[in-house]
Amino acid sequence: MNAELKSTHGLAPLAAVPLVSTGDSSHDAWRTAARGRLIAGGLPTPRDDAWKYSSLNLIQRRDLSPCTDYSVPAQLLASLPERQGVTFVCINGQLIAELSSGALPAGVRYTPLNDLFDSPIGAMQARLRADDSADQRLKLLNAVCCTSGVAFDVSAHQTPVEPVHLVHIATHHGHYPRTLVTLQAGSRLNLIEYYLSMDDSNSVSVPVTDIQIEHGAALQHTTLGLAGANSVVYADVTAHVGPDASYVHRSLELGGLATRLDLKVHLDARGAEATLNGLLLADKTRQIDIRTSMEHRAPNTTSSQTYRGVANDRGRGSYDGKVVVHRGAAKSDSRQSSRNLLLGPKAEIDARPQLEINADDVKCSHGATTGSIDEEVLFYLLSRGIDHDTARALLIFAFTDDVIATLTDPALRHAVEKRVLASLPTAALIRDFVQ
Amino acid sequence: MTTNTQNTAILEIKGLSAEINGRAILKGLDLHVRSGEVHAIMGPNGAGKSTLSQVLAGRQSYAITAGSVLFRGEDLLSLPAEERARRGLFLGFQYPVEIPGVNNVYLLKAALNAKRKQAGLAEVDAFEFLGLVREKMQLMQMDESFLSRGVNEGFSGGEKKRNEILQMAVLEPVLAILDETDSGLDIDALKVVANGVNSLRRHDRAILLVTHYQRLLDYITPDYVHVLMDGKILKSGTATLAHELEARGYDWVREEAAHT
Amino acid sequence: MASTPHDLDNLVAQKYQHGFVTDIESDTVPPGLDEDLIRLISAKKKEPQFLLDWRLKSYRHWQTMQEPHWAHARYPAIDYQSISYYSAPKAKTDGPKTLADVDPKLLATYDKLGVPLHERARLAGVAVDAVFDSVSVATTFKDRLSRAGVVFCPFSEAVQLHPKLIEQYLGSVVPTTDNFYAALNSAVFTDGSFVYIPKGVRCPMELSTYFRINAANTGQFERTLIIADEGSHVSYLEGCTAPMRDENQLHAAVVELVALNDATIKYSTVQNWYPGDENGLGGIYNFVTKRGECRGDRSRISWTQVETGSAITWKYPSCVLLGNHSVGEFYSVAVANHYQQADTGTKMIHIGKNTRSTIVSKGISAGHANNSYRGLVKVAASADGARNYTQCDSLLMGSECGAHTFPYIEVKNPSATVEHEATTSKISEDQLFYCLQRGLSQEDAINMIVNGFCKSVFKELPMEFAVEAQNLLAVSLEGAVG
Repeated sequence: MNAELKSTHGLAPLAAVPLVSTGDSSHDAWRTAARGRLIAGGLPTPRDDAWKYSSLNLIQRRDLSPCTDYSVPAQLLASLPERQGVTFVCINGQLIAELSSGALPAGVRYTPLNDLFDSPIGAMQARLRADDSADQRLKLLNAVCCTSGVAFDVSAHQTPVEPVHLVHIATHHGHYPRTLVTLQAGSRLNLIEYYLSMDDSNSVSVPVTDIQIEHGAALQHTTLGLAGANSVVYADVTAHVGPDASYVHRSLELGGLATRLDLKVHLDARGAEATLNGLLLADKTRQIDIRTSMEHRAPNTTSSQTYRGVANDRGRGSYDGKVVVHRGAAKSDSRQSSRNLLLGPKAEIDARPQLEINADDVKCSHGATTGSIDEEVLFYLLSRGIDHDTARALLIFAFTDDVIATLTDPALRHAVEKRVLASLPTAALIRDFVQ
Repeated sequence: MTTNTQNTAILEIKGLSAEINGRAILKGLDLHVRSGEVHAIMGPNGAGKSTLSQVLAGRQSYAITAGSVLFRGEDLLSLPAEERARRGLFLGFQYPVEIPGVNNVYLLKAALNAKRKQAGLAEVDAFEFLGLVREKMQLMQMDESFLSRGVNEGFSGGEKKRNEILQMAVLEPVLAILDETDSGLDIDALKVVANGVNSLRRHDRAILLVTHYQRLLDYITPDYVHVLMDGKILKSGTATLAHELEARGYDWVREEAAHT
Repeated sequence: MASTPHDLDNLVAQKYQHGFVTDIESDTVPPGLDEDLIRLISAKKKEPQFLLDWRLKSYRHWQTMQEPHWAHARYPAIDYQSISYYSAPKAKTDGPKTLADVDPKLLATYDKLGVPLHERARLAGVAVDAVFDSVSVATTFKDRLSRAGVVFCPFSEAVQLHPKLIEQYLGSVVPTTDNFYAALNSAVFTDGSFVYIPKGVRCPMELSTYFRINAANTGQFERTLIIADEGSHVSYLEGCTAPMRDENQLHAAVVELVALNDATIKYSTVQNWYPGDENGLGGIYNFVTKRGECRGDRSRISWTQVETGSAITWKYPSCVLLGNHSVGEFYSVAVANHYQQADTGTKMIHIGKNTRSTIVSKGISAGHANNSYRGLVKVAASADGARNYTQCDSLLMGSECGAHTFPYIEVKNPSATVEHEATTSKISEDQLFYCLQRGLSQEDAINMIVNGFCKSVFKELPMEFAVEAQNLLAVSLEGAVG
């Protein structure tokens, strides 16, 4: 369906922003032309089906021009969970060498995007561009505005144990990080990303991540959304998964005024596998909109999705998960589960678990539930002498555990648990139970 | 021992080899079964026991690579599964499937009528059929609620196995292959199932018990016991062989076979 | 999988069984759509001014609307000026008063369709309104029904006899502006059925309308309105067939149901419009708007449908649950074979407190067909204690077909419980082998398994039609396996 696009105030200043040269004149020309179309065409509105549940009106009045202030907000860094392995810190998309620490594991190559631009980018072009559709509109915004980014490349059969941490800090206005991840045949990587901003920041982050996982390789990818109370994040992640390769994505959406995640996974070859897990914590006035697209393009591909949402106060959580099994993708196996707790009278939960199946020898299922706390379980706890508020808080916490338990890094898990606890009105009551 | 020269050949398997997904499971198996006989096929896990049952019943996922099978003198392997069933070959499944929404009795009636049609007999009417099923249900100590339930839908392991024997009782096969009929049964259910099978022993019927344990053979005494290992019958004997296997395991059979 | 080619050939040879044409002289207006045509239809029906005004208003609005295009349906553009909007068999008298006045050719047609109009015939417990192209040709058991106070008559007759009820309720559930096809229907609808069940009356028999398209190049635009007054109960069934033609024909109906306090409406459909041939040539475009409002407390509206016909179906029978403790139900079997495209589902809008809804959808796709479930469950902030349970299962038969599920679930009340489950699979090899091992033929085995798959919907159909639905399913899937 064609989107009805509408101009927003925020795009206008982009016209005056000088676009940094990528060193490739054809790509520069493409960016200049794309900017013109973007400003003229504007951003999608809620009338567009793809944007039904997350309103871009929130950023109507924000200046979206890329921020070039690289000063260090020290307290944000202090709030990060304890980490092992190497940490890269980027402020407004620019890698800040002096804040980064640890040694890169053997076999992992890191290239600042600027250097990629310097070399002929021919083959990279497809990974650096986007089209004009409503679906890719924000990705296009990133493609036009991003001035720097990082690329990780893991050599064949390298399997580093230590994770790679990538910290994205936004200060104000537009924030356009771009990350490229390539895992060559038989390699492994554990990548953990953090999105941070101050509570008084008016930042709009539009990160784009492009992932390629080659034959037999495996990527564990965790993103922790910890943006400040007034920040907005529209993230786009695209992963291509090769033969017998696997992709695990976990998103923990715990912050910001609004978060939108578009997660597109292409199971391109036989034996490819993807597991997506997510936790949406929509309290206060927070909107969280997760949109996944799982494309089974080859036989014997497997996918599994588990999303848990909690909406409280005036929060709104939505999950729109589409599974497509293409013709010929026989023996595809796909499962989707979206369970949601709706706790506040002004809160809302939306779910759209969609299946588009074009092959017959498949096993596909989805389940979506929305409700309050299970009265029977609550009664069980009450009958064991636990008071009502404690029991309730405990059950909310336990509900989120389906996703939190999949975090393998103990420090990370602890940090997430702390954050979830802090969001519960009666956290103090159950701290003893869960720590 | 019921051996009798007047008994006719029911099943003649010669040099049967079969594979699945390119992996050879049966490797030149021979077996002869005559009417009135009860044979037990024993063997360790993975020996090919279930493969043998499935191949005889006509499962298409197995490829026959060599050998022949005659069923009452007719080439069995060229027949599709439903034709084998209509000619009197019955497989009691190790894991009977659930078929949601399809009534248990309805399936049974359709099965019986398919068989009768083949034999040139008139279809049984619903009333007559219900009488027949009720009588057989008593034998298997099954309660009325069975009549209204879906095929194996929500049945316990024991109920499923009893249902298999009930079907056998109604369909009155010439050859019944009972694949691990004892698995998942408690002792009381085992007795009911064994009792059902024993009551179905007849001079014009043969029964092939496929089992991992000797336990079932305490209740159904076979005329012959065969050890299936490495895709072949490595040793044959009488009921006493089962006790020997129970006491000594299977490895000695392979060693003994290697020496001969 | 073992296959028996001979049986399959025989099965494929069986075709759509209602594809004949009745040779009868008709009064058909020339193709084309404008305000004069609407005035003509209204004049033919001797309608009061309010209804003509209503039609014209709808038409003017329709002209401002865009034809919808869903993602999963593909068909050439419809030329609305090439359709004839009115066609009726020429009657000896001014509308048949009794069955004796009905043209014998029409009676024979309905006999052939398995819907004899003689009151002592097979459907002795069912009152039938027979709609042939644009008009109702006969309605049975009128006397018996009127003794119970039940009004069951052609829509055009209701306009004459009960104009107050029509004015009050027409368009009150599906507004003329609701969607493109509802607006078109409101402008040009010709006939249909009208039902009114008075307070406290339990309708003494099943009511049914049998829709038949006969004339070529026509569209059928019928309108059905059912009002169940407080504490009443009615079960209504509609059936539909059409001749086999290479051209596509448009059927755009609107059905409105209103249930007041403690009333129950059970609405069943066995839709068997001509589906087109095995290459996708011809067939009916079935673009229908069906909606019921549970206006009263403890009211209940239940939709049951068996959809086997039509080249393209778009249809989302919905329930607006306004009354407290009201109940909405949707049970659907949709079969799409060859090149059929079925896009069907429901909307359950929970507004009243403690409202409950159940959705059971069974989609079967075969050949090159596409079958989609599209549904909305919406719980408004006011709907304390609302509950919904949705089960959507799809069965695929063949590697060229598609099964799609597009549910929208929007919940704004924390005391609501909404559960949605969906599965997609093919008939399991294990189930099939089990049946074959018991001696069933592959076709019988598949039929049995498919019927089992649909059982939870079939059991909701009135008994007289459940068997018919099962047979229809078997005919529709012929040639689908192998």
